[in-house]
Amino acid sequence: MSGVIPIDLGVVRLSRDAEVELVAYSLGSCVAVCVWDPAGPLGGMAHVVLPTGRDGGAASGRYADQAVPLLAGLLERAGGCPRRAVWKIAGGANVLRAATLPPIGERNIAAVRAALRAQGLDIAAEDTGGSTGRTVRLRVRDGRVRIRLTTGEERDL
Amino acid sequence: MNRARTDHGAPPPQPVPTPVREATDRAAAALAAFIAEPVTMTPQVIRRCPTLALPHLLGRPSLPVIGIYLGFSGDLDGHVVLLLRRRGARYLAARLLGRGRDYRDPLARSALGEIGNITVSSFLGLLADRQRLAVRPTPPTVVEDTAGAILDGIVADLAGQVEEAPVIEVTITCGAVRTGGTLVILPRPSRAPEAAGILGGEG
Repeated sequence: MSGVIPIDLGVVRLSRDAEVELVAYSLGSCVAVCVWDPAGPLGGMAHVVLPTGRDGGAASGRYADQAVPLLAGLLERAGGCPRRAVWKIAGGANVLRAATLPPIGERNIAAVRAALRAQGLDIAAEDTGGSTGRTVRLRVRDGRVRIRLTTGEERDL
Repeated sequence: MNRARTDHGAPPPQPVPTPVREATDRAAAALAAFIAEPVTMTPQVIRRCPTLALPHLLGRPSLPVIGIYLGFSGDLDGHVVLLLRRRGARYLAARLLGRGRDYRDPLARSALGEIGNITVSSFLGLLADRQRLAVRPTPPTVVEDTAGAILDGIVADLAGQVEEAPVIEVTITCGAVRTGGTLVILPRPSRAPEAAGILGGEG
């Protein structure tokens, strides 16, 4: 398989296909958690929507505190090593800047950082906050994480 | 409640209730008076959309749009977003401020915010009056971004509470020009039975 795998809201996905790119489109307050392990290579992404989930029920990728362990678990079961892998995060903007909306972006960023810390995992790079939407692409072949802002600006993470 | 499903797994759309039609007519009349041009607002069917799928409402989340956001609270509680294609925003800005005025201009943004204010206040005002409910819209916020990024913040607010949200989509045409405008009304689950009846919020 080759091409683009869209990572929709709440989805956690891992690929060992070097020809694949995992893409989270148009993140606002959501955060994309990217992981890449050169052994394989293995690339994974979680599209986090909210900081924490309710107790009970199956773990869900929509919550930071559940998505990070889910992604680390997927990596481990595929033969990867979460502590060796490179972890990067992007997103958590406050696009609407409306006083009546809770600052979910900031909370998502904090929750993702805390969830990674709880797993003993370091963040190699991040592009978070601000007030502009982002599209995040992870290339499985070499782990390149490319950010495209809504303003058109692009950069590697 | 057990709802019937279509072949695609989506719940069947509900017909647009009369108060919603009246509210869109009033909003169209108010906007027409503001921009001095005939305006048509066509309410689409009310449907329940999975909360996490809301960024796909306009087709693709990466669609560049101008979003005019207002919250509302009181007996009805939720979010309204007027999403305009760039062409539509440029057209409306030019109608109000003269040719050559870009929607990125601060004055044009202010004017677009007022368009959102007038449209939403008229819409919600009529619904509230009919049902004797109190509704307070917030001041408008105007942003330029993708549809997905704009709707993301609302998704986050709703996703912690509900798996599906009732959505009312209203398409807007100004004069002979299709502005590509879509008004999206997303009520939070409401305790008011009147609100649940009108907007499809869980009672």
